[in-house]
Amino acid sequence: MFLLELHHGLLAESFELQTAQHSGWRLVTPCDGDLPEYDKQGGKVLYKLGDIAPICPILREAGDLHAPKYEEFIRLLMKMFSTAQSGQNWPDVMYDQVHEVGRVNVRGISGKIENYVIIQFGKKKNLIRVLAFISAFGRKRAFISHVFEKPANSKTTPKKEIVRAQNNLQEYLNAIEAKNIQLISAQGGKNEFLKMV
Amino acid sequence: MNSSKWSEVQKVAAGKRFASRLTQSYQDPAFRATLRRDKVAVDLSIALAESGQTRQAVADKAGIKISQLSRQLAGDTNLTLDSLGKICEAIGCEFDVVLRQPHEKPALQSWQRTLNRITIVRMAHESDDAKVFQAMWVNKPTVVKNPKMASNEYEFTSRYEAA
Repeated sequence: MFLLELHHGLLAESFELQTAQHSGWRLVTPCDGDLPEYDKQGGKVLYKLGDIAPICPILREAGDLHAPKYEEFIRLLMKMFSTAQSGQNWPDVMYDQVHEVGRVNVRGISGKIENYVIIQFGKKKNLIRVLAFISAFGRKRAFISHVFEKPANSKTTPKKEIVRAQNNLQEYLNAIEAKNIQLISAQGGKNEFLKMV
Repeated sequence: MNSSKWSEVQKVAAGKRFASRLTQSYQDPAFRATLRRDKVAVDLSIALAESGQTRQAVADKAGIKISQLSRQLAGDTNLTLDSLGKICEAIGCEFDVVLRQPHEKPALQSWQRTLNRITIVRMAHESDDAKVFQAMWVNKPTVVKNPKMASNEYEFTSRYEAA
């Protein structure tokens, strides 16, 4: 399983892919595949916005949001990235923009059952939400599952979004147990991921 | 919308849409203003959290309603310099307006300057600290003796420049 570490640098027009340069929260999200660190000439690849989004569900799915919601999503991401730098607890900084939406039980490959709280980023009145799982033990790490639009007439998080988050988390934890997980190569691959666990 | 089963062509097209829309948004002065407002709001929220005070306490000290403070810290209102000053005083900090060229690195907040803080516990001899420290860090970090720690415990902090 490949992961992308999310931070401000990814929203520049062009950039070299690095891990976050701060000691706060590390935000990781699942990807469909790897991205190379070096080009054919052996130089560091200079990425553009459109290079990352195709392999990263949280970004490519945002590409189809309606204009006001798209900008709301970018604002939410930026706020999350800024908050992550401080290492403070999310609810202390984002206040009413972060809330719990439920708990899920996840069974590992080894049979061990763990209970996780699903955190939702996004104001209650707004339509764009990001689901995440927080791990504050040891290194501060948040697994960002996916983004979704809450139906306008719904007061609660749709069940299918909870299920999707649970499935993503299950896949992530299984990959950790099977040692078949890494950040994309341009962010340090397996070695950089090992620093986070 | 679960895009995991999309074809490669669809994924690439969605990636291009994401990129072009973001470029378009960055060109919109109103959106850039919103992002600046959000940045100030998040920085204030972090400073408030780091001060260890509650929002209610800060609102009381600043002489504003907590609902107003919440809107300001969510980036929903356009803060005036006077309001910003009131909130900063209530938090116990000061603010500067630092001007720079668009391509220059932004000024760092205190929580953005610390990277790789480690603590070495119970060194055998204090004289060994410097040797170990130089071997570990190439970029000459500052060494801070933490008064809360025992005499043979040190906290080392490396500062970095944002990329």
